Amino acid sequence: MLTRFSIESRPSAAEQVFRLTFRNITRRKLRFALTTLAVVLGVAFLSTSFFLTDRLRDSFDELATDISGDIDLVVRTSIEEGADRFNRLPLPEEVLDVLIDAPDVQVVAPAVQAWNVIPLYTDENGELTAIDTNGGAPQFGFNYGVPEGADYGDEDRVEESFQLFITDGRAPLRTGSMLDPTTVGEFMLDNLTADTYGFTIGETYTVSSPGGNRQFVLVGTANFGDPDESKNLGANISLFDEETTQEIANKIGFYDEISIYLEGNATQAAVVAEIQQRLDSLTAEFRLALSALPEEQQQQLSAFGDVKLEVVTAATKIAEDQSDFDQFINIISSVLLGFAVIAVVVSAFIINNTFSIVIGQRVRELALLRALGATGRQISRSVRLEAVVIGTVATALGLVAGYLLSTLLVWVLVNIGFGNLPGSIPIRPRTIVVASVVGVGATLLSAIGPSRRVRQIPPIAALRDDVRLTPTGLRQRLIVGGAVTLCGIGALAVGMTLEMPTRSVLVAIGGGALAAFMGVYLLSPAITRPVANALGWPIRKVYRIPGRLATDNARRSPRRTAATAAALTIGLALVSLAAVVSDSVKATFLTTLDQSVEADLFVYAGTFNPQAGFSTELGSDLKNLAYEKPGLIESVMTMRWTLNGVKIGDGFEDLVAAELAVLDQHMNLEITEGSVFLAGANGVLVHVDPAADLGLSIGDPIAIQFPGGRTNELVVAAIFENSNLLGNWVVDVSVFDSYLPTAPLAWISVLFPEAADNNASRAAVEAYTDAYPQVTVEDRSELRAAQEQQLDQLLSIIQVFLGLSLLIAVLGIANTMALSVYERTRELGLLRAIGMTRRQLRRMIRWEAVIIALFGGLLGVAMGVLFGLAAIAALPKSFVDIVSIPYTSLLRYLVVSGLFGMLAAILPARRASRMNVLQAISHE
Amino acid sequence: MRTSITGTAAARMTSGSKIYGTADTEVRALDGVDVEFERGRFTAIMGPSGSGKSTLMHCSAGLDELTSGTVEIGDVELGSLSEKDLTLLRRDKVGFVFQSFNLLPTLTAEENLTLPLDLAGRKPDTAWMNNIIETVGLQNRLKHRPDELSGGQQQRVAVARALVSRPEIVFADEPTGNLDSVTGGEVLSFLRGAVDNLGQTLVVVTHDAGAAAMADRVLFLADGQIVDEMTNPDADQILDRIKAIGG
Repeated sequence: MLTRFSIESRPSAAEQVFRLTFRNITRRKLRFALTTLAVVLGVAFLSTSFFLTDRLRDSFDELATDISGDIDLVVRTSIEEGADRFNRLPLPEEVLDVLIDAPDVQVVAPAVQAWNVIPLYTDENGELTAIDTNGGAPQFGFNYGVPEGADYGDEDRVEESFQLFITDGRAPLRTGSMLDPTTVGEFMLDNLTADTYGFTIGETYTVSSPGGNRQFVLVGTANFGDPDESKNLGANISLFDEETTQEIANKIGFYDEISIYLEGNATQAAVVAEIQQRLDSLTAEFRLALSALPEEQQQQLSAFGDVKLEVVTAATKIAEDQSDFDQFINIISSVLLGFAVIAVVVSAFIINNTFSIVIGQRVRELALLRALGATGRQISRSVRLEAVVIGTVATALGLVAGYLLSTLLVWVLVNIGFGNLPGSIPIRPRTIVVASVVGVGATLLSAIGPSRRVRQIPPIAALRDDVRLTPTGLRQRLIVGGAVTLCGIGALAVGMTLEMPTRSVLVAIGGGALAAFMGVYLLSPAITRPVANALGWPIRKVYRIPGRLATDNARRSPRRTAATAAALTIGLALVSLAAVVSDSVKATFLTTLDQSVEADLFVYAGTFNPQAGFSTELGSDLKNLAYEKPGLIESVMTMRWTLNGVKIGDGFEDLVAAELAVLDQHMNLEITEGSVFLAGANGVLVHVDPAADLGLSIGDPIAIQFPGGRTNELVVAAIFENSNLLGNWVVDVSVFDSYLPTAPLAWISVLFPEAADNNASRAAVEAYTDAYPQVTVEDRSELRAAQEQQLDQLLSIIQVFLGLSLLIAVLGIANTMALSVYERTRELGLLRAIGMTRRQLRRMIRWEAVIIALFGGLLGVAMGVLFGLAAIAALPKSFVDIVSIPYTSLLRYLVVSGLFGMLAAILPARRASRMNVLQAISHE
Repeated sequence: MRTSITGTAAARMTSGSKIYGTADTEVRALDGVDVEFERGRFTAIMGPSGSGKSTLMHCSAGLDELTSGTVEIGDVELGSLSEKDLTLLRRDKVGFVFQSFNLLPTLTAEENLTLPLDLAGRKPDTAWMNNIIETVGLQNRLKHRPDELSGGQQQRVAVARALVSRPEIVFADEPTGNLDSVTGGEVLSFLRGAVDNLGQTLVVVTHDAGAAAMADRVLFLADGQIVDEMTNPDADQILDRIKAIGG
């Protein structure tokens, strides 16, 4: 007993510090909770971005492995590294023959895939309707089964290669050639799609495909990827027999790839070498045969002129699929991580502010400890320890919250049509480590300033009322702030004006924006008083004394007001930035549409993926219409494109194909030199910028390498200035026919004659397009409205995400208000004693919060507009060219920030108005 | 309103009891107190620490509620008032001077002074206000903020504020407790002047016999009960009485 007593009575310095810290935390629960919550939210967003993307990556990786089954090798055409693999050319059927009799090959399983295969159904109103895409996920047609008479090896293994598990009905069989529009074929659907849209086995449906609209009887449904549940990940999958798939994919005589199973005792490397050798000799034979063909046929097959065949291992293929998925996941990941970083930064501001205020309030208590013999260093350490404890607790809670949030998001993804995602949310050490480092680190970092300041507290402060902690002098702060702001603005100016590579521009602008923000944050206490005064003016006019006191209180501690507002400033700066950029993008697009587009009607695939498009039959139908009824239709222009598909110079570029013969009737590219009519089948139109970069002028040859390896030397026929419509490189459709047959028909524009009745013309077009409900038909004003709506939607999504950071900021204001109310307890008691009603008191606190929030909002909107202008300058001109500032939206943001202030004040005001007057007056 | 009839009560407590805690820990801060504060008179309340003098003041002023008994200010019975009416009553009918921290730091002396009127949304009676300002001698300090005023000046502003709405009664809780004797004396003489010249009713809780000696009447409290009362006493008499009570 005695020894124990003596130990307790003489604790080590470290123990004392810890005890002090612990008491501080446990005694002030609300304050602790408020501080913690800010960190919790930051960590929750951060960990969600890891949890969710890990989860998705796991699912997709598993799926990539599942899809490949246990095949050994894959044969296909090669495509250059860096090119868009969607453009990989198919390989001729004949390849199969050299594979089947290759040594050690047990089974060959050819695969054909068609994009944009869309089963149509009749909805409850009797309208022909297309199944929806899930957020632009592809709609595939795949082959299934072994054609009659074909010998691919062991049938069970061939079956297995398709990774399809029939649950109802049977496999689709060949009924006849789909080139004949009257043939009724058979198809099978994945269970998820069949269930969602109520497709019934035995019924006949129209399926719209690149090969046109044809009738098919649904004969079965199957799970994809897994025997027990479909793992479509949003895609819709229709299945046909092999030959039918080739026909609807416009790939008659071709496969996309051939999977190979080897005999159990085969040596993979040896087989690979043997097969590659066979493929090479086949290629040589093919080239020889090609050169012997008549000119016209050579032209038709020219895309395959330099094609190379390759054999790769299943592991290579799986890794490729996974990296494709990865690209998609990385986008999600960067977006989530970006918002998480914003959330953490906002949280850090709040924690820092809270620590500063709390330390200020505890001056006397800390001074008493100093008077009793604690060293400045010990006190400083206790503050840091408190930060570590808060950071640790908050990180743990944040991880839990992040896990729950990810679970919710996965549930949402599954239910919006992703289908079942295999696996569970993985808890990786990386997630825990990063979250801890960031959570504890940000908290500790935020506490360093305040913890250094406490060292200066003199013991005598314990006895005095008026000791204040002053951080660095305001003058010093203003000098630093001014310098940082100037650097930031300088960097912004450099980024906006100087000609530099995009990456440097982004670095200059991003860094400049960050510096400008920090600078303005440092400077903002200097303008807090006058701005708060001005903001408070109407409040004083309306609410007299509560308004007056609200203004005074907001002005009282400029640093506190500025720091509290900063959290809101970050969020609003980003929201305003997004609004300014999107409004300008919108203005640019609409102006282009109004000024440079002459066409009257537009037909395009409603989805957006790199292979989105529709049947070439619709294109020919409309062209025929123009030919037959020139009184209704002046001309029709079809467009196709490849994103990142062709190599020009050293880089992969987007290339658009249009009918150059009518291009200038449909749109104005602002041609400065040359002429569209000079282009023909081997001409190219080039935008002035790349033309200048590559030193091209009219008549110059330019080599364009297409997927499949064939390089075609085209001639510069015209140089144009308007890249908003078709990008930088434009060729005639015939070039694609020869060199890029896989790129689907994606856009059609229709021009009506001047004298035509627009309604009649449109009705004539719709007579054809009605059979393709997946296709959007819009006139100029509809297209305009649709694009506008799309941009607005995108903006709202961004705003919702950024709104989350505003929530944290609201928490910050609430925190400051709660602490201020606590600090001013006596004052509030006095006011209540001499006759301020509860309502007046709440009003006073509410409007103080509103002034702080509006101050943050004003700075945020101002900076957002500045950053927006910088971003517009940095973005490519084809994307955004016109500056448009959405004044009403910006005003709305200000109103919203004011409302957030009110929201933040609710609890502190309620607490304040309910405090006991007597206790408040005697509060120390 | 101006007329103050000596002899009638500005505030009255009848059988006032205030009990804190329950059962074992029960403390009777006030134990059946009957008291009237007459109009136009200066009453001092004295007593040892814990005798209940502050509780008496707080309950009489509508800052705290009695456990049993009634309090009337003017002709209003406080027990029946809602929280809001009680606040309005304090604003319009009661003046307060506390020991310290009487003023809002962000407002000037003049703004602090007119605060109760501003809260009520009323225009000050200029003549009355000038009168008060002159009485407390603050003409030159009106535009100053509290931190630019001395302790005595701050208390004088507080006294002026307590008077500005021409309340039924002014309560002062140790108004000179934080001041040196000279400054304290000044503040007391302003309070005295408010009674004599402006006809106000004043109740002062104090430890200081010298301060109490300026009152018309001194009440002595011990253990929650009024144990004695003196009229127009001098400081020595008061000190003797306190010793007798055991404060």
